[in-house]
This record gives sequence, structure tokens and C-alpha cells, in this order.
Amino acid sequence: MESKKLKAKDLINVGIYTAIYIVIFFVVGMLNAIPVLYPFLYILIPLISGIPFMLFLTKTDKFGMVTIMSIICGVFWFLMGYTWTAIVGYVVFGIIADLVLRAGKYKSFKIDVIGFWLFSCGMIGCQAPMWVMADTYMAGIEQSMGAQYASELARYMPSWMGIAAIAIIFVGALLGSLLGHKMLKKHFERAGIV
Amino acid sequence: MEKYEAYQPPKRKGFYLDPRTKILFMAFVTTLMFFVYENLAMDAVVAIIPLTLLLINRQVRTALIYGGLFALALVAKLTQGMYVLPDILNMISVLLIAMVIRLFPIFMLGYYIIESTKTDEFVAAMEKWHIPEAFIIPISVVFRFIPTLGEESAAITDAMRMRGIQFGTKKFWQAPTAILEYRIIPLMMSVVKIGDELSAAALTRGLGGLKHRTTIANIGFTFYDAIIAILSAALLIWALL
Repeated sequence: MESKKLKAKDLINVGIYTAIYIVIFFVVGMLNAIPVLYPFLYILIPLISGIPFMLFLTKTDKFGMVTIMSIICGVFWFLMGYTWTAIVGYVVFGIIADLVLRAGKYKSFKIDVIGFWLFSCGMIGCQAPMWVMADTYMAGIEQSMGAQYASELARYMPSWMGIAAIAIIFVGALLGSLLGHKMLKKHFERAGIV
Repeated sequence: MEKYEAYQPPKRKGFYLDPRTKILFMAFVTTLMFFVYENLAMDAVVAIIPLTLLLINRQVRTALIYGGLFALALVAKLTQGMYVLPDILNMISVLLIAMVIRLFPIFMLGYYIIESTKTDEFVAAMEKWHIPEAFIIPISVVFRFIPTLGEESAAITDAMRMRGIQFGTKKFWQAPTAILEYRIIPLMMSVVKIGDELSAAALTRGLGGLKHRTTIANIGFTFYDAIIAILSAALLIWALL
């Protein structure tokens, strides 16, 4: 058994996969310019980020890597203007996800799916200002994006969406991890990377 | 016996900001932009600061593109009441303008920070904040990696274009989901390889050793950091008034 302490190589891996996750989130997140597509983010982001995340889990065998990844994501989104709820969302869900993943020793596929689901739930924190600080947020959106966008946003993203998102993300995470798993088998194992 | 002095990095000349100033200023600006929304003049001022920073850092092309688009959006916003567009077109234009005005200042600042901060300076600054190494290493890798991802992705785009795999071609419409596979898998492959090389390079430079590592990066607050602090204070007072 190797030591439980994180080594430099682990930390670099965390950095790399965090970078990929952030870029995917950022590119796909651009879709929120169209309010109708907003709920679909909850499927699309886990779906696409499933491939890197599954690959990341093959490199993970110690507690803390997923936690660090989610804390960095949270701080990053805070700096990009998603306010403190992004940090709270990512940190809380990240730690829970890490605990769950550790129970499966980062190798059981079923537990990986649940862990990935919980990790992805962190992104609810990015949309949470919409509900937690509804007045400030909606007033700001109405002022800058126009009344039309604000009313449509309120229509497609009512406050119960914050709860429903957990279920929607589960679908996304399931599809994403299945896709990721398939890709690992199809490409990476054959190439000898995993 | 002759004594050799330890290597000293050359003294910095000209404009320079401490990495800590950059990060704090970024947090300040984004928070400000979230809570202040009806002040167009302030948006413009907030945009001018990163624009100036970009120009000082000689990123003229980036500055021109972002600054030009921002100015265009500002003009469009000011003249919005003067003409009537069809409904759907109006919505798109309002959205585009709003996105540019709200997000571009933050993009510009982020771009400036990533381009102007050297990794060793960043690490040294984080160590002064006593952030544990378990966070410093991944964060600096993220910083270093985001531009690399862009380059790799551009290379893959070129390679895919040669085979007619890109958005909108006939091949694309035959299998739209395949594009995800064709783009992400090669990217992941090269990322894994780069990651291994990066780890090896970092280990040979003593990362992960038992001794505390020293740094020759010469950081510290200067006169220029004070300027940014005064600017932030002025913006804060303006926002509160």
C-alpha cells in the first residue's frame, strides 16, 4: 500500500483535469445566453465532462484529489463572478463526492457514477444566486440583458429548478460516465494510457 | 578564495503588479460587477483599467479586439432607443450587447492575469499567503495549462479540417455526436502525455521534495499596486454613493 499523502504527481494531475473541466464548463456554459437551453446545461456539462472525469478517476487513488479539484473550481468561478454560492456549492458537494468515491476505492464503476453525480451537483452553486439572491440578481439581469431575457429566465429557471437540477444532473452524470467509460475502453486502454 | 554570489534575478523595470494584487483586484471587480448593474459609466471605467493593463503588457492585438468590441457594444447600447429592430433581432442584439458589456472587462482582466503572471511569481505570492502546497501546485498547473489546451485544440481543429470533420460539413451532419469523440479524445490523449511530461519536469526541479523550496522570484508590493488599490477604493466609493 502506498502512502496516503498526495504526491507532486497527483497534484499535477489534479491541476490538469481541473483545467480541462473548467474549459469545458466555460465553453458549454456559453449556451446560457439562450434561456430555454439553460436547464439543458445540467445534462450537457456532465455529459461532456464525463470523459475527462472518468480518466481522472483512473489516476486517483487517494482521498483529497477530488476535494482539491472542486475547491479550485469553486474559487475559479467565484473569481469569474458567480459569487460565493459557487464556492459553497463546489466545496460541499466536492467533499461529499470524495467521501463517496473513497468508499468505492475510486475503482468501482457504480460508485464512480454516484461520485461524479455529486461532484457535478456543485455547479448548482453557480446558478444559485438566481434563487438565493433573487432580487439583486434578477434586477441586474433585467437591466443588462433586457426584460425579455429576464422573464424567460425566470420562466425556465424557477426556484424549484435548484432541486430538480439534482435529478437532471443525475441523468447527465449517468450518461456522461457511461460515455466516459466506453471511451476509456475504446481508446485509452487500447493505447495503454490507462 | 574567490566568492561567488548567488544568482540574482535582474531588477525589474517599469510597470509591474504583484500577483496578489491581480487576484484581489479580480475578485473585487467581479463582485462589483455583480452588485452594480445600472451604471454604464462605471462599466466603461472598469473596462478601461484592464484595457490599459493589456496595452502596458504589450498585448496590443488582444486589447484592440476586446476594446473595439466593447466600444462597439457601448455605442450600440447608448443608441438603442433611436431605432426599432424586429423582435427576434432585437432580443439577440440586446443579449449580445449585454454579454459584451458585462463579461468583456472580466475576460480582459483574466487574460491579462494569465498572460502576465509567471508561474514562479505566482507560487511565491501564494506561499506568502500561506496557502498549502496541495492547492498551490494544482492552481499553478491550471494557469499554465489553459493556454496549452487552447493550442492543442487549435492543432486538432486543423487536423480535423483536413479530413472534413468540422461543424457544418456534410460529414458532420451524418454523425453529429461523433464530433465530440473526434475532438475530445485526441485532446485527452495529448493532455495525458503533456501531464506526464510536466510531472517529470517538475520532479526533476525538486517539486515534492521534503525540503522547503526557496524562490528567486522577486515579488512585493510597489507603487503600482498602490495605484490599483486607490482605483479600487475610488470605484467602491462611487458604487456606494
